[in-house]
Amino acid sequence: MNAFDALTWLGRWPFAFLAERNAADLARHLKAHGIARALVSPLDAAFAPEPGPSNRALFRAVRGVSALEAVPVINPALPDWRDQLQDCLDRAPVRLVRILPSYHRVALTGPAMAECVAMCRQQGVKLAIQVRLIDERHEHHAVSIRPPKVAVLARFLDAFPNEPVLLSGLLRTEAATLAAGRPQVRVDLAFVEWLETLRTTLAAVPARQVVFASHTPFLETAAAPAKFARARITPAAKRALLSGNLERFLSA
Amino acid sequence: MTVLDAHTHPHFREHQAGRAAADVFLREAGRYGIEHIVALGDVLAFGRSPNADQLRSINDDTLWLVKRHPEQVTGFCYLNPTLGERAVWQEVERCVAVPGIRGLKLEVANNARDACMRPVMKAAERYGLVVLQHAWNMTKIKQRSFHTDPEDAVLLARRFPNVRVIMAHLTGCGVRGVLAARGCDNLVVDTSGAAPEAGIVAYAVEKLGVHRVIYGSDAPIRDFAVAIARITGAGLGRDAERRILRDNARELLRLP
Ligand SMILES: [Zn+2]
Repeated sequence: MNAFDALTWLGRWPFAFLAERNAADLARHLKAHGIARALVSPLDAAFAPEPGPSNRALFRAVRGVSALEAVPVINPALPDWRDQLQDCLDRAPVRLVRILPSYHRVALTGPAMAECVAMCRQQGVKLAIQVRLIDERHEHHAVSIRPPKVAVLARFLDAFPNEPVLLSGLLRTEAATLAAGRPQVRVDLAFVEWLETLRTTLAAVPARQVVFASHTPFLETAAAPAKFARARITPAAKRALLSGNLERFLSA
Repeated sequence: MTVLDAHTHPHFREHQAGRAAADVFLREAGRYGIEHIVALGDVLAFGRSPNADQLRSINDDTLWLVKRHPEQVTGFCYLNPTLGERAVWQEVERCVAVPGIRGLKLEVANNARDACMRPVMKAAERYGLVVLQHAWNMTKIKQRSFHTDPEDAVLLARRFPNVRVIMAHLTGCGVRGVLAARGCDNLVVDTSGAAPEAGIVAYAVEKLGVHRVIYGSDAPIRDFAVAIARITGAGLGRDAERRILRDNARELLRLP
């Protein structure tokens, strides 16, 4: 299948019995499911006081594991976010950084995000917004976390119509709403589902804006390639969704 | 491997063009080796508490499909228990007159622990019907006055130990729901609900035993491919997969 996975994680998650793998194990696990390469972000960064240590651990972990490409987490709600980003760029060839707005209380339409978008553009780095990590109905009872509203995401996107953004973890209808008329946006397929997921999705979202994502270890890895195995879309569209679109987005 | 899907909604008025779409739905199921489906109706077509006419219209779609494809489709009669004892019995008797109606479907008109469930369960007992109760962990949803928590579904099954109950949506019920279901032998859980969260199917098999977990997709809200991958991706082995994907439901529904 040779997929390029837009969304995987290394690290610990306190609220579910997720598989804890090291980088080599993760690469092997993904390969067994037809995923040749993957973007990987540090899970510990969701709840750590600041993401620096988790990002540095991620860079160390993926060193020498060519199938995995580190995507650090940046928290623009903290005063040192510029240093966080610069430190990552100094350590490794970073093509994408991930923002967790609902976990880090990042105001997507606030001045820090505007500056963050500008700095990413200057540095040639793309931005991923993690809309949800898990189904909000299944969050731990002691925490109160909701994904950003679609209207807020739309306002953010429309404020920077020329900045390429990857939206991760959208539901089917959210993906259709946010991708339509916004060619700068890419949406990943991790939480997108309906009968004949790919045919349904491509009826609502241009094929070039859709990328493969397994969201390992949160979701069953086998479910992501399963959406493709018997999908009735053209071989060219399949190839684009599986790897070409993500590669073009990152290297543009 | 042939598959039996215990949780589907072949008629989905919002997204499909009438009854003809149900044939397309069955063909799509067939591409995944799904030889038999349980059709539950478009249960939210008129909101969470349909009146008697609306209920009949939803069930008419199911009856039509069962008559058209008796080998491929089991129908469940959708009920709104809050319409009262008389209305419940009338609709059950109307539906069970059609061969292939093998169960009752409860959604979110009321909580499964409510007294209005008594005639539903009595009717299930009388006609040997399986009861599929929608369930979801209510901790975050906060609608428990009418929306069934797994603990409520389990209470219902314990009150009526002669009725076979399917607690819907394993992923929505979660770890707490699985633990609530332990030791309640007339209740099985279907594997539908939300995204394919890793580990929950294996957890249910470990805690409940493989005989109490049955495959259900919730298609078209979900993709057959993904729903099956939840089972085949869980590392359970071929025997357990066959039980979950086919044998458990076949025995539960007493299919020929
Ligand atoms: Zn359903």
